[in-house]
Amino acid sequence: MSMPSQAFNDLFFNSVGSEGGRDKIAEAGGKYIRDRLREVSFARKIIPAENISRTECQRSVNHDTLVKIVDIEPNSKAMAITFRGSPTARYIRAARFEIPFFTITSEKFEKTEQELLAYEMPITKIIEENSVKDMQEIEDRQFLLFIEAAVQGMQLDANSNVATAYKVSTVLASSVVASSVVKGEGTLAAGADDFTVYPIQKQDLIKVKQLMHRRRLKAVQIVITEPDFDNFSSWTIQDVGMTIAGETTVEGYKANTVAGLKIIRTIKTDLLREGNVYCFTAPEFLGRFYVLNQTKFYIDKIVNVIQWQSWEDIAIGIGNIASIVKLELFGGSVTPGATTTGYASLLPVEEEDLAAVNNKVDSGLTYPAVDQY
Amino acid sequence: MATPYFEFKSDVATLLRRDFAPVTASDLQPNGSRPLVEGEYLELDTTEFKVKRGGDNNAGTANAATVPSFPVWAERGRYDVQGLGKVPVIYLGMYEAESQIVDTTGADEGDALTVVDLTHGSLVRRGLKKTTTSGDMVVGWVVRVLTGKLRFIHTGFSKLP
Repeated sequence: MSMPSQAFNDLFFNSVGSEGGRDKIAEAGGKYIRDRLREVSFARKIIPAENISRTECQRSVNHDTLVKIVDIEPNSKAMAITFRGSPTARYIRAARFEIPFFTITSEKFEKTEQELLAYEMPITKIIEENSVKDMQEIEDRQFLLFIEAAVQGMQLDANSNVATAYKVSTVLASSVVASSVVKGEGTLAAGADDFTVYPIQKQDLIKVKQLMHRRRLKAVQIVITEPDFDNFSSWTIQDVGMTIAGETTVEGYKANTVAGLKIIRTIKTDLLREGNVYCFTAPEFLGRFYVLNQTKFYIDKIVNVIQWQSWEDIAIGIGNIASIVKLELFGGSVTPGATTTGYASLLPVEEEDLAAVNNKVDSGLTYPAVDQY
Repeated sequence: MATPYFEFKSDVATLLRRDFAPVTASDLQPNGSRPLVEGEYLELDTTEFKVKRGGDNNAGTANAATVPSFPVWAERGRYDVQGLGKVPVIYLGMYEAESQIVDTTGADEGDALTVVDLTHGSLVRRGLKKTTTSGDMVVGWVVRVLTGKLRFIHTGFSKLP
């Protein structure tokens, strides 16, 4: 059932004012201008979320937080022997690791009931819906921090535990081991240790798959920003053949896969920065994403001030750090301890700096601009 | 579970508890050389929006705080703290609490407390001690002196005149 937004706002603060009336209210439909596109979590597409209960978690005797302990498969091998030979023995063991739980929460929103009357759009409903995607944005941010740490952990290990800058000059000089990262062909051709982002090429995807396949793992999917993905449409006949080149000229690149890899695209270029492409195995080789408590919603009214907030409790863990490889389309180094100046622009923005606004309405920049008189 | 080093004696719900990343990430590792414990005080870093121990890691030189310092409210080794790399501190709000990260020397009811380097469990920590020095940042007022503990109230930040 649709209703005017003003009536929706009236219903909202009337319902909030009643003892048992703090129910969710159906959307009225809005005639308002959106500021930016909000996207669901890409982390959940890479590692599907599983619900988990408290009884499946482990506690501590020293504090009141929870972890989930997950096993890694044990190692084993076979051998050829003579009719009189016998095999080597293995007293089996298998590693396990802990995935800690934490909370992701929206801001705590507040408004007086009188000021809600000044809005024609269903502002509370909009914020409630956007909050879910805002929290998923933080899920993605945490996921990116974890996978980047995984990639850099493999790099550190491969370079004898010495933080070695992975940049164009060290790659061309072969003075750094490329265990989990490759540079794009355009980047290497440019030859500069800077953060100019070059278009992705078909050969780049081949190289990143090969990194994974050399570990007896199967590259399955990539996550890529929309701006980087747009460069697929610029591939020539030599890369994609006449048919696809013609299609991409008219309609853009439409397929869900490229070079055998499932494509996960994201517009969250403040989190997954342009120039970074990550490649993953199937989830069972990678890690786990647990949801301990689904999104909860709290609302309260104290005198004339309405407050509301939502949160969820989750855990994300990368158990096999070899299951992630990275393609860098820029020349500088983001290796911790051996970074190139300006590296911060290639890492996810700080939480405090998220939620940048596109519109300039507060600066008076709308057109035509008139004054109320 | 051992008795926490820092226990509230007033409501927690009204306090603003905020998470900050520490300047020194290894402070969050429970088996590190000097892990953070509840009741230690941290101050904001001047260049990054992170927290750090003030002073110079030397109980002998005290280094009383001259800027607002916030008590850590997280037991050593919490999984959420380790997982996120952030530590919750009591950022805003008045409260009453008891702390074991203290130096009770000369303390009496009504005394002003500041944050200094002191030795607790053979490690140097940022904890509470009586102050009468002009310019020191007062973070609390003693309401009761106990053996190895101080009970105090925090009413805000002020510099001792």
